[in-house]
Amino acid sequence: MTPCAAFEDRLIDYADLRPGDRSVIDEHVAGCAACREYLATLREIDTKLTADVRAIQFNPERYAEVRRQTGSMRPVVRTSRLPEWLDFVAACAVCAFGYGLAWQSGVIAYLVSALSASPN
Amino acid sequence: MPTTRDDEIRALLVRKRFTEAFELAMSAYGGRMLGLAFSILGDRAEAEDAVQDVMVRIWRALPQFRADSAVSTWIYTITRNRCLTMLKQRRAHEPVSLDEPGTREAAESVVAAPALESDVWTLLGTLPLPYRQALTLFYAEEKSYEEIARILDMPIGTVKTHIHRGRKLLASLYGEARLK
Repeated sequence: MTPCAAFEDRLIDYADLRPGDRSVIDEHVAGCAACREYLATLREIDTKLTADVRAIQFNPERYAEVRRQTGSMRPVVRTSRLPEWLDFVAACAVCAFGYGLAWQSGVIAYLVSALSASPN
Repeated sequence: MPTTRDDEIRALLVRKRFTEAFELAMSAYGGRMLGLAFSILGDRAEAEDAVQDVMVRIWRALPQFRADSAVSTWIYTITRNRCLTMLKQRRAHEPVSLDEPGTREAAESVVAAPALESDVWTLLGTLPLPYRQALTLFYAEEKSYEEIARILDMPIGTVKTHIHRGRKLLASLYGEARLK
């Protein structure tokens, strides 16, 4: 069951081939018993392994143990440090903006002059 | 509207219904987690230990799941990383130095006594580790090369090569086995 060397790699990647390339392979396989058998073997392997891997079940007793363990613990809701850091930046930005507005509107200058003019 | 199990689990996570999300995820992917663990560790009991541990870790980490990948991809990545850590720990306790030429390759190639049924699965267990894990993911859910690459943390081209070479080796071994 040795396929033709020129076709072996393309037979393995048959499912990924473009339709045009596939038709070349189909044509060859139709007239080559060794490559036909090789392709059939690959398909048999695919079918068996797919069935095997999907049939695997985790041991129910083990899963019961997992549920027993997880029953006594809560998922960890970990707060990210990034939002806290962003909160601080946002607060600073709001303060700076407010100060800028007050400066622009002359409130700061008024307060400074009012305080300096105060007799106390 | 949720269309796949992955979407259903994701929807439950968004609503912080962690218990239901966990139950659904483990019933959907528990067996395949075991398949992946077994393909890496090569020992059924050790693979079950790993998966049990990973399940508890997943439960704890559920709120941290970020929706930038499929739930299954996230779960398989955690499973794989845990198994590789266990593999390293096992190697650290092995009496023979794995730094000796050829020893590491041998340790990666041989999977002891597969406890799963078919002859092809047994043959899969004899392939080198990179081929085993790529093929297990490939057959488990027909994952795309991109997703397998993300889980295995390797380039897509490497994944394709592993799958190609793994299938080639399997075909050769399967052919030999049938002739015996």
